[in-house]
Amino acid sequence: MSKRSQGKRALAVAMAATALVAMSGCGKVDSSKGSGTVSIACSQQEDFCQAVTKAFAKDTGIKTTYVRLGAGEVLARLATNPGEFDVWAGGQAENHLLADDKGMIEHYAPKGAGDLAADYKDDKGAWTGFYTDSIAFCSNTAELGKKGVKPPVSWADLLDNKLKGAVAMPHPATAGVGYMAMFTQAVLHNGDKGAAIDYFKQLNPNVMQYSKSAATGTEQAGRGEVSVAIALDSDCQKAIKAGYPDLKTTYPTEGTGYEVGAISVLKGARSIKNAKAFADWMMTTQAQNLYAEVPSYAAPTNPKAKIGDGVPRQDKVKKVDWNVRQAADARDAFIKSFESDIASSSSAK
Amino acid sequence: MANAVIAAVAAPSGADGAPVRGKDPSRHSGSNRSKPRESASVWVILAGVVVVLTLVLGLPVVKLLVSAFSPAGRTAMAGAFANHAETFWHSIVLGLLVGLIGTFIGFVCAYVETFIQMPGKKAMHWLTLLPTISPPFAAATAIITLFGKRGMVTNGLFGLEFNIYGLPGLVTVLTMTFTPVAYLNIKGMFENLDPATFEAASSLGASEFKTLFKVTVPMVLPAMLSSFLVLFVEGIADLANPLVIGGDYRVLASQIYFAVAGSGDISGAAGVALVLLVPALTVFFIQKYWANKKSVVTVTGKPTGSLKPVTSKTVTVPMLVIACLWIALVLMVYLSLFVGGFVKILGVDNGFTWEHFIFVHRLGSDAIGTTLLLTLLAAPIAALLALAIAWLVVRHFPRFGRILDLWGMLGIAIPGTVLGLGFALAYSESTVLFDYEVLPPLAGGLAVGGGAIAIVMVFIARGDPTGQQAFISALQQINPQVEEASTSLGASPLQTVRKVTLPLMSSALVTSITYAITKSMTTITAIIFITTPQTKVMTSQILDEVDAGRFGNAFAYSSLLIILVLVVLGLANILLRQLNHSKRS
Amino acid sequence: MTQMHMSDNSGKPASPAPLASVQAGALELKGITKVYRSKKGDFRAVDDTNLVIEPGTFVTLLGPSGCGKTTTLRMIAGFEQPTEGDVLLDGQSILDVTADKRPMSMVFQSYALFPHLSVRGNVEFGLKIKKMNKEERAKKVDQALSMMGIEQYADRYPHQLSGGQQQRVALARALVMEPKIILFDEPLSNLDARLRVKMRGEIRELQRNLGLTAIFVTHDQSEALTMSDVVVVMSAGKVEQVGSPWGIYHRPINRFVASFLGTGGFIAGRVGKVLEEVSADPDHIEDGLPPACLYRVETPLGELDVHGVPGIAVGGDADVVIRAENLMVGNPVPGHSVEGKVVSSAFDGEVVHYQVETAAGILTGSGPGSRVPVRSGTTVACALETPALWAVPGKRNGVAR
Repeated sequence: MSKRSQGKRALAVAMAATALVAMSGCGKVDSSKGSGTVSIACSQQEDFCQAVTKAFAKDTGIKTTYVRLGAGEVLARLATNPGEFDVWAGGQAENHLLADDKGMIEHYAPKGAGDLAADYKDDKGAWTGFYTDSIAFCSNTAELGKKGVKPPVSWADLLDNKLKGAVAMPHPATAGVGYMAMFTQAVLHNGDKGAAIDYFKQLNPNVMQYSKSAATGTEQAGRGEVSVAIALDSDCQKAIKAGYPDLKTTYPTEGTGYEVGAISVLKGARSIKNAKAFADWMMTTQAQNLYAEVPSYAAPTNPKAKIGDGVPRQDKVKKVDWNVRQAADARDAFIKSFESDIASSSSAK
Repeated sequence: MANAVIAAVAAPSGADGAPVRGKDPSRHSGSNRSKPRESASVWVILAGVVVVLTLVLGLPVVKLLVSAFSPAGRTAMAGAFANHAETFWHSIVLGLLVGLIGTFIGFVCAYVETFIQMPGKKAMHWLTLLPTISPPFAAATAIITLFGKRGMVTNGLFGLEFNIYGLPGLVTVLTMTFTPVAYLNIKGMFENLDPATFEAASSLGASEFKTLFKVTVPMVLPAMLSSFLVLFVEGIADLANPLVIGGDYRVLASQIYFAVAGSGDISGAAGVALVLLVPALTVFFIQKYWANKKSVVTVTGKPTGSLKPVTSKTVTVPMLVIACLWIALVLMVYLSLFVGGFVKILGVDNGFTWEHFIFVHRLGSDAIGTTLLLTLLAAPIAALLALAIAWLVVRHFPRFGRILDLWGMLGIAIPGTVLGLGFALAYSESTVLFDYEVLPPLAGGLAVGGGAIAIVMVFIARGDPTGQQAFISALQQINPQVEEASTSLGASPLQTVRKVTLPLMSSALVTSITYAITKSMTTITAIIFITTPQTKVMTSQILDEVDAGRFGNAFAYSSLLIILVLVVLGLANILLRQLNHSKRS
Repeated sequence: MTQMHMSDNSGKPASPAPLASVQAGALELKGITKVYRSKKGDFRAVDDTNLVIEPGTFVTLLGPSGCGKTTTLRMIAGFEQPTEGDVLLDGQSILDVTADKRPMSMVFQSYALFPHLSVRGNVEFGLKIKKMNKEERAKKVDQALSMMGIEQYADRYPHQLSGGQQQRVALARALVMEPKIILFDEPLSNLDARLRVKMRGEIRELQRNLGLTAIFVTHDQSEALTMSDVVVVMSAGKVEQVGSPWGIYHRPINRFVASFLGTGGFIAGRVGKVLEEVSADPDHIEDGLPPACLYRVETPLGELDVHGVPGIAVGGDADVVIRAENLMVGNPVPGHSVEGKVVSSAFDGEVVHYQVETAAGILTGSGPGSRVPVRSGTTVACALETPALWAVPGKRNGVAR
């Protein structure tokens, strides 16, 4: 690039910056200095994202911004806008692994990662888990009662004709839980993807709406718009506490999928130092105690962290054998066939 | 006096005998006259307009097309027809229903407002307009609460289990959101009709019922057509509502969203977007062509006398019933929206709480400031652009101007989803022209200004068309001689615009600014792909809350947004009035 | 280039023409042509027109609608650019001067008052643009308002004024600019008949008192005849004739001019003999009177000795213009007597208009209004006032229209 065009660019940048950013104070302009900011892609519920970034900013003096995005959305954004985020906090470990496959992740094992159980971290440091929860059925007992259906305790229970249009399921493309549910089926069918797709084809008439986010279903169930939501037990618990007393969490007896919510440092971060500082901080007991404070009902991975009231006991849940690597590898194909075989056919109702 | 000398009459009388040749040249001295030498300022403004239009409606569209015709895009396009033919038709059906029902209700409300005498018309007017100033999906959440399977009305009152998710819900929400456009459009046309037309119809023996169908409807047909266009495009473009209330009724807009958000498949999304663009532009051009052909309307600008109220029961009763039902629906939706912000979970736990507003305060203070700032940047630019285009089109380049007009109108003819995608494609990277970097990246978190510039540009593109139309029709009603008089008195073209033309178009100016503000503050579909961590916008945060099912927060947030829009509009109006006043003194 | 002389700083006492301190301008049109191009072909609205207008004259462009007179005026004002030719003000081309910079003011058919400004606001508009200081501005505006007799309406808005009052505001607004040339585009056509006549006189008087150069466009012949020093008759983009009002009325150069002015008709004939070659009228040539020949024309009404346009050869077709006032019905006076049958009559106060069937077809005649109109169907003797008749080249000559 010629000197002249650089000069022009600098001028344009300066003008635009004064016009917009200086006035709003909402943007980050100077990418070279970088001592003061960190930008986070947050795949957690909004209130938790907010509490975490605020606490971090307060502790470190680093200006922290975030966007709440589903895991799928983050993957898409990283592909189209690399460098936009410094850290990715939240979302299933397999999604972080996918990002790593595309070379988007800076391997880093945060301080304190050594204390974690082996399941909760990646050997190479691509991702490190900081919370965990499982897929559950979040049922509205009053609604189910009217239909004469018991809260489901098996995946097969969801296929009940009486639940036509009464099940909520997150869209696998945008919500990690949606994909987890699919992969869980594959695991339960000994890796037979066709069988897993078949299950969701059968489930399709019962699904009212494939929601963009994971938490939508629990609220829908709480209001009685649906009777059962395929959701995270932590989200269901959160809805119960928020004022939906009719909700009840049940687990499938054949086993369920679970997530390890991970954090990773992204390549091309404008301040790798701050990004690592954030990852370190997220592993601290103090940060993980926020789960109990916010409250969010996922279980922190740090063994020293408080476990809040009502947090589902993950050790009591029967889980399927979850291979993060396989889950990551299967994602693309699953989502494509979901789009073409299931979601586009509106056979329901 | 004797000095009066006629020196020369050189032109020899022509040899041909026809008394008057050619056609009536007064036709030429009207709008069609050619002006080979425009003053420099006109060329400067033309250049400015072309540059702005290229930035906001040129590059993004071109990039979208390029991407759509890439191999991946073509595959997706073919896929959209093959696998998702149903989805495509869903979009079309939705657009048609929203267009037809919205235009119909808009017509009825405008008719009641104009022709029927009754108390409380002013209140009715504002209630009809209420939905324009709220984010489109705010109504969706309220409608689910009211009419969902466990809705307070459907289930609570009548014990029904009505499935609002899907087409019924989408049509209701979108119609509610966009009917005001039709209402304003048609009402504006009613007000410009010559009352003598109705007196003529009545003196020729037409009953009020007959007059309605034979005179009233045909005369406002152009307004109805253009309303239909806007509603159709908004109907097929909306992606927020299908996410919230779409049920299993899949539409192309949300498919684009899932392609981008879920798979990062931008080329695929562009392919699908093109499929969405084609029907939108088709309707747009049909409407333009039709409206041009059928411009039978007597817009005199100065009606003599005033419209006589219609009293025939066969007309008034059905009209009033429809209008009142509609108003009741709007009222119910927005009441529950406001109330919903103050109770724990509306319809489930109706205890009073501040928690939603506290949440909004914690979460949204950044977004509120940003939204306001971006709006205040974009709205005046949009209005200025609209004015400049109208001025060039009507006064200076009647032929070439038609292209400018169409170009500007693309801001509304291109579905918001598609436009937003175009922006994401065009401005995520720097713009390079002949190896020179013309522009740094404008969209995305890495961009200059944290992506705010791209958002402002979208606001401008979306805010321009309504003002443009308002300015064009206002300008066409101003006798060009008034401006020539100003020129003749020594005013330059710009002085003329400032001192004569603009003051005469104050109502168009208000319309333009008002639309630009509301569009900017309430739009979501067009910016959903370009919001960034640094630039948070209220609507996208509200959508997150809706999406997460935390309706209480969404209600509180939406109420706040509505109030903010009202405040900004109020201030803008006061400011404009002040400006006008100082000009008169 | 053209320079505006600001005045009234000399402190001299108010002259009878306080506003016209600027030298009236001289204008010349050199072969100006205006072509409108369209898909259906070119249209020449104004075709190679030449005209010289001396300072201080009142010139009227007269013609039917579509003849190019308004286009000509707009080219002078600078609202249109000629396709060819040049416009000179005081000897200098002003083609490159935009309309706002030309020292001319225009009075429009619609008045084109600024509806958002008061009367005062309208009148001072141009002075404000000129950045004239407040005091001087107020003085000038007051002068202009009082000159037009509208001081009492200074604070009203245009929509609160009658048509005549609006017209006066428009005039005041143009005059206050002290233009070198004032342009009128059919300014009286929106007034009622009585007011129109009154305004004619007022405009003419103002122009004379202020010594302005005025160019006035109209399709109304009596406006043209009563107000002008010079009338320019136009048709189909061309100038047909330029002359004094008397000259163009009585000595039209061709059938078109003859038929456009006055009421009456033609009788076709052949020149039998040229009695007098050219009766130039050296004393009157400055009044715009074209030269004339005396012909003996053979017509269905017999041989008539009439003056006419020079150059019609013996044996050539000649049309004799017979105006209504030259065919006196039922009023035989010495002159060429013609017998005719009254077809219809219309009483119009001071005159009665007749349609009379004669040997030369139906002609328009007149009789004094003081007599009871002759009943239709009656055959009466009529008198042709031959000295007032005028011959133009006949239709079949292919010369005239």
